Amino acid sequence: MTRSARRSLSALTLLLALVATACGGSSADEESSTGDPTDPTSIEVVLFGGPAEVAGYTRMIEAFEAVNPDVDVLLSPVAKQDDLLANLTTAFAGGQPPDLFLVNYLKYGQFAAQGVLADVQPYLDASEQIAEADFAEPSMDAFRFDGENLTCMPQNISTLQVYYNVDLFDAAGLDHPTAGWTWEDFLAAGRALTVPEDGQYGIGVEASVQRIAPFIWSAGGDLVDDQLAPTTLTLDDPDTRTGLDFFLDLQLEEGVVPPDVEEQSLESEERFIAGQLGMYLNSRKSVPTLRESISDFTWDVGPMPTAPGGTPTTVLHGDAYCMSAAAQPDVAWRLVEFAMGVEGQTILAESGRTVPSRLDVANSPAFLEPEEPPASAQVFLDAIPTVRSLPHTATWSQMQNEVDDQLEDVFYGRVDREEGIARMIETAESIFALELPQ
Amino acid sequence: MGSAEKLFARHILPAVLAGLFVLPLIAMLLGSLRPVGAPPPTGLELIPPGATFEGFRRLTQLLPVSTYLRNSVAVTTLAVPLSVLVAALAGFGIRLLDHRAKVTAVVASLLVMLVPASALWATRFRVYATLELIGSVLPLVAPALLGTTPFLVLIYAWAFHGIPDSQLHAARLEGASTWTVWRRIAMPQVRAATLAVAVLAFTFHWGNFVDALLYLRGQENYTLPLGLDTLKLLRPTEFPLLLAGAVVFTVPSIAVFLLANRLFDDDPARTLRGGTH
Repeated sequence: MTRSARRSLSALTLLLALVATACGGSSADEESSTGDPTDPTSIEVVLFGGPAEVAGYTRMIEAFEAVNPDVDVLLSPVAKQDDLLANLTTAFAGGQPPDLFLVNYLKYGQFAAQGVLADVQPYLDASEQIAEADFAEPSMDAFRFDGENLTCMPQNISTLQVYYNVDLFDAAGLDHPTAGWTWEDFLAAGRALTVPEDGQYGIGVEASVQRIAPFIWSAGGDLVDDQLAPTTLTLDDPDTRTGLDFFLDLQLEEGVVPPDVEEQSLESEERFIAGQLGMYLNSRKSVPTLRESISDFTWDVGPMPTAPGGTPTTVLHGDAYCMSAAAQPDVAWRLVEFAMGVEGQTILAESGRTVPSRLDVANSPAFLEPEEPPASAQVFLDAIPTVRSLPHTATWSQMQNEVDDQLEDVFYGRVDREEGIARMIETAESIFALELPQ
Repeated sequence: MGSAEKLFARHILPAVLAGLFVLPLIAMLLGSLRPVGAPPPTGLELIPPGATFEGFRRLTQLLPVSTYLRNSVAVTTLAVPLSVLVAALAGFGIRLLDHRAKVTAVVASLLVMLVPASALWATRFRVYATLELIGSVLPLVAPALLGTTPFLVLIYAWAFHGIPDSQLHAARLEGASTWTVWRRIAMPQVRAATLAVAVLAFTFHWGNFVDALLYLRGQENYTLPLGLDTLKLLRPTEFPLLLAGAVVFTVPSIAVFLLANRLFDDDPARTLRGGTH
C-alpha cells in the first residue's frame, strides 16, 4: 500500500470517529512536484507574528498560490518566537519538521549546528529570479552559518535605532538626533528630558545583550573573543567596559532611564506612547504600534549615537526563511523565491514592520512611505553599511536568555556591578562550553 | 449558631467570595465592550463610554474564531467523556486490587505525575507522526485515552474507596459481573467525583495550549487557546479585541460549570457536604 493510500485510509477511519477533523501534516510526504494543479504538492510553513503580520504573510502566500497552482501552502502561524522554537524543536526531534520556517538570526544556529537545514546557497546560485546582489550584505552574512555558505534566506534587515518625541525635543530646545551625534549629545538630551516628578524620563531601553552591543562596538570594544566560535563574553576587557559602563550609568549614575519600579508599572514603549519618554531604543518592529497609537505628538527616528572618537554602528535585528533538509526544500525554495522577489517583499514591506532585505524594495515608496511617520525612515537604510551582528552559534540564544536576566539585575541596581559582570561572564562561558563541535 | 452568624456564614461570606471571583469576569466583559482604538481607561469605570460590540465584530474579521471554537468544542466533546470513562474504569480497577498492589498503583500514578510534560513532547510527536495524526486535532484528544492525567484516576480511586467491601461482595453474590458492579453499584455513589473529574478534564482540554502548539498544523485546525494567543501581541488601544477573545473563550467554561452543577444537584453545597446519594 502506498504512503498516501495508507494515509487516506487512516484519515478515513479517524473521520468516522471525529466530525471536525482534517488530516494535515504532509511535510514528510515524498511526493515530488509534478506541476499538476489537480494534485497539488502541500508544503508546511511555520512562522511567528501578530495578527497584522500574519495577515501580510497570508496575502503573500495567496499571491504565490495564484501563480503556482501546483503548490498548496499550509500556514501555521504562532504568536511568539519562543512558541515557534518549542514547535520546531519538537517537530525536528519527532522527525517531521515543517518545510519552511521563519527564524531570527540569533536562533537558527541550534538547527544549523545539527545539520537539519537545507543550505540556501546552491538554490540561490541556481536561481533565475533572485540573485545574491539584490540583498543587503549584513543580513546575508548573519545567515552564513559556517561563515561562507548561505544557510537561510534573510527576509529583512532591521536595526536598533532611537525613536524620539519631536515635540519634547523642540520644547527643550534640543537638536534632533542626526548622523554623527555623540554619546554626550545623547546623554545631554536624556538629562534635559528627565523630569521624574512628572513620570517623564529621557531614555527608554531594555537591559539586554542586544542593546548593549552597539554601545560596546562604537567605543571600539567587542562582546566575544571569537565571532564564529565564541568561548567567552569579553565584558571585563577595558575597551568593552567603556561601552558597557556608559550603558549601565544611564540608569545607575544618571537616572535618565526609568528605574525598576517605574519600568514595571509602565513599560518604555507605553511610556513613549503616553508622551512621557524622550527617546526609545528599539528596532523597526515598533513602527506599526507607534503609528497606530500616537496621535497627539510628532515622533521620528534617528541613528544610534557614536562614542567619543568611535565609529557609528548599530546591531542587526533580522529574520530569515530556513528550509528543512528532511522535508521538501525544492518546493519550499519556490515560495522563498517568490517571497524574496519584488512582489513578495513589497507585500511584506506594506505592513510597516520590516525593513526589506531586498534593496530595491527598501529604497522604494513601499518601505519609505513618505506620507507616514517616521519621516526619517531613511535612517534604517543609512545604517546598513555600518551594522554589525552578534554571533549566531547554536548556544547563543540560550546564553542570551540567561545573561539578559543577570544584566537586568545589574542595570536596575539589584546586584553589584562588578559582581554581576563576573557572573555574566561565568554563565556565558559555561553555556558556550556546551557547543557541539562542528 | 445565632441568626447573625448564620446570616454571615450562609449569605454574606459566600457573596463576598463569589464577588471576588466574579469581578474579573465583569471587568473582562466591560472591557470587551469598549470602543476599539480608544486609549485604555486610567481609572475605574462602570459602563464604558460608547459601549459597543465592535470588538467582537473586529475579532471575527481578524481571526477565524468560529473555526477555532468549532475545533475546541470537538476536542472537548470527545475528550471529556473519554477521560471520565477511562479515569473511572482505572480508578475502579485500583479499588479492586489487594492492599499491596493498590499502594503500588497509587505510588506509580504519583510518580508518573512527577514526569515533566515537556519530557514527553518529542516522544509523543513521534507516536502521532507514525500514526500520521500530526496536523489533525486527534493528538489533542489522545491524552484522554489515559484519563488525561493520573490525578483524575486517583480522584476516582479515592472516591471508590468509600464504598465498603461488603457492598461489593454482596453484589457479586447476587451474580453481578465486575462491569455491572462498576456501572450499577459504584458509579452512582461517586457522582460528586464524576462532576469533579469532568470539570477538571474540561478545564485541561479547553485550555490546552501546548499540545495545540506542538501538534496542530494549519489555521483551520487551530483550537481557541492557540488561535487566540496572537491577541497578546495587540497594541494597548486594541485591548477590547483581546478581551472579546477572552469572553469567547470563557463563556463556554462558565456555561459548562453552571450546567454541571444543575445536572448533578440543585444545591452544590449539599453535594459537597453529604454526597449525592
